[in-house]
Amino acid sequence: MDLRLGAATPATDDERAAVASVLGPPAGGWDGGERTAADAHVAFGGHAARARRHLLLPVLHAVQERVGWISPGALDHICVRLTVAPAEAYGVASFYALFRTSPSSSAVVHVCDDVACQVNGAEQICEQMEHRFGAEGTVPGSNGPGITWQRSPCLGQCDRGSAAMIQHAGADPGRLVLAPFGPDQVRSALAPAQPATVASLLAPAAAAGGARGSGLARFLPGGGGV
Amino acid sequence: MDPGSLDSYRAAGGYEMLRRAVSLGPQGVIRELKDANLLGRGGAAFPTAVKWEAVASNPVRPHYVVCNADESEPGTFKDRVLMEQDPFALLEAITIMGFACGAEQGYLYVRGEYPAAEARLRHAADQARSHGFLGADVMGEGFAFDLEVRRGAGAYIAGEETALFNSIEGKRAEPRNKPPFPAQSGLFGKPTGINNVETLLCVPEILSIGGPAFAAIGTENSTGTRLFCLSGCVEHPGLYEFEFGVTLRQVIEAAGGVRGGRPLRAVLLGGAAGSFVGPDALDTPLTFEGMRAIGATLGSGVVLVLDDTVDMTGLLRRIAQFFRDESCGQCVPCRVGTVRQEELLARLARGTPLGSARQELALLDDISAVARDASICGLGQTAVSAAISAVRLGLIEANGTGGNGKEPA
Repeated sequence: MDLRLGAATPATDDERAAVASVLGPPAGGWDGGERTAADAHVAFGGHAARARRHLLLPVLHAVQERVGWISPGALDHICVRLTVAPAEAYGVASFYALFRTSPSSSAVVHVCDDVACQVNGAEQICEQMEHRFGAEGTVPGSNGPGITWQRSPCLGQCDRGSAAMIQHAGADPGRLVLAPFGPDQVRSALAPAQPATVASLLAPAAAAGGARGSGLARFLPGGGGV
Repeated sequence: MDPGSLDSYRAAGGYEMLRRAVSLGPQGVIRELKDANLLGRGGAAFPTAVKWEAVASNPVRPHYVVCNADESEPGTFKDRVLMEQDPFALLEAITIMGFACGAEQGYLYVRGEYPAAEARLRHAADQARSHGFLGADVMGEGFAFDLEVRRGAGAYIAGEETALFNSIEGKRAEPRNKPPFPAQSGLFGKPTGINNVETLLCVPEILSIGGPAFAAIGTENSTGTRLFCLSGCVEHPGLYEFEFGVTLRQVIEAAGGVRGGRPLRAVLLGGAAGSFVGPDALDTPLTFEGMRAIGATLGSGVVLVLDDTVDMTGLLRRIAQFFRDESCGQCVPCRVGTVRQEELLARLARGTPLGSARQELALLDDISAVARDASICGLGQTAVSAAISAVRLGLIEANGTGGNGKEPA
């Protein structure tokens, strides 16, 4: 496919590494690698090249987690690697709420204010967040360390009171769900003194702990407990 | 049981039902589901056996199976609890589905807001693969099945089955027109079986006790058990499992009743895409047919309890805002209708209706009718149902005539 790329700045090394973590290193000039003399004498494209489109979301996730947003340069690089038109890829990246297409803080706090949390004081929590971290969506400084908060639709934690999820980008990325949530928890969850807090959630060891969440209560005749 | 350990799952009888499925054969598994009369738990209540049979008998290859774990309906958390607490059971269930549907590749699409569930499923899949429960020769039984865990990226609409296919394919999660149904043309245009987490987890249970025994639980048309997500103004919010036939009152009482002993104002059943019912519906059985009779829906099992202190207008505006935000924008009735609904509810809340409150409510009816008739998918079709039910219950206080104060002639 003859891709027309428009980004002023090319993808950074971090962005390329994030893409390669999903797709592996590029094979040559035809899919985003170094162009060699041999590349001029062959052509790769067609169905085989376009059949990798299904990897677009995993790749976008990887870049989002590593860098905190999908820059135009990163998007162009992804397009070359997957043979997807830039307009198509931008349409996808901008469709999903967990991808950002403008520079963002490394930590984004999604505060649930949906129906169940509203009944549990989500509005007061949003007010406190505004007081503490500025207006919803404020990005302090340019891309880099910092905390941005925004309202979120239901996070599926309705049994534990008002909830929030922290999306944390960087070399040690993670997503951390806090429920019940209070604004005081944000800094401690992200504190460098506890670098394992975000990552530990993704570790299977934490999964075995069983400290999170309420169980399933069964009310079946003769069914006994859980 | 330890959700991180395959050994602990097997010690509790894990993977015995996959063994039984293999001995029954694909047709035998589907026959059991048919005997069990299992209906989908994701919201649409479609017979599972019909789906599986249509995929299994489709001559086009390859076949795919997909587990829809993109649980995003406001108020729903059942799939999260199931996946976090028993990830191996879901793997076994989707393997049985792959076996019965003749699929060698499965996908598990987990919403991006469930990091713990995703981590546990990935870990479980790795363990299952290294012990031969996934791969080229599952359990040495001579069939191949593997699966991939995919992460959603924050789109409610991706929970619609065809939108989910598009999302896996690397596209915007926009629903497709149906027909063709997934069993004809699903993921990558191939025959695809797709079920919700809770539905899939009924399958090992059915194979364990047998289809007819499963059908004997619950009521005639709603068989088996059902999970209810209790939240809002109840003493003990959480996930509760009941046999079908239980009434709303019993479910709320099991959760300790209304918080602080306050009077019940309304219950939101089925999530934002569901509807409000009043205290008079407390003795209605929570079955598919019982809900249909009162014009409500079980949906994804949401029981959001609201007492007399809740700001109903605010709640409705949040629902309207939710649908406006989550509409994929592909078809007009939903894209425009959800905006009009939000504006209308805002006008009513401000007490400045266009014309009169009665005209506004008539307009809401129109929006609802058009969205229901002309939207491509269930999101648009149900986007106004909560507001309509709230009007019916008198939960919206339309502030007099307002506006120019004139009643229509």
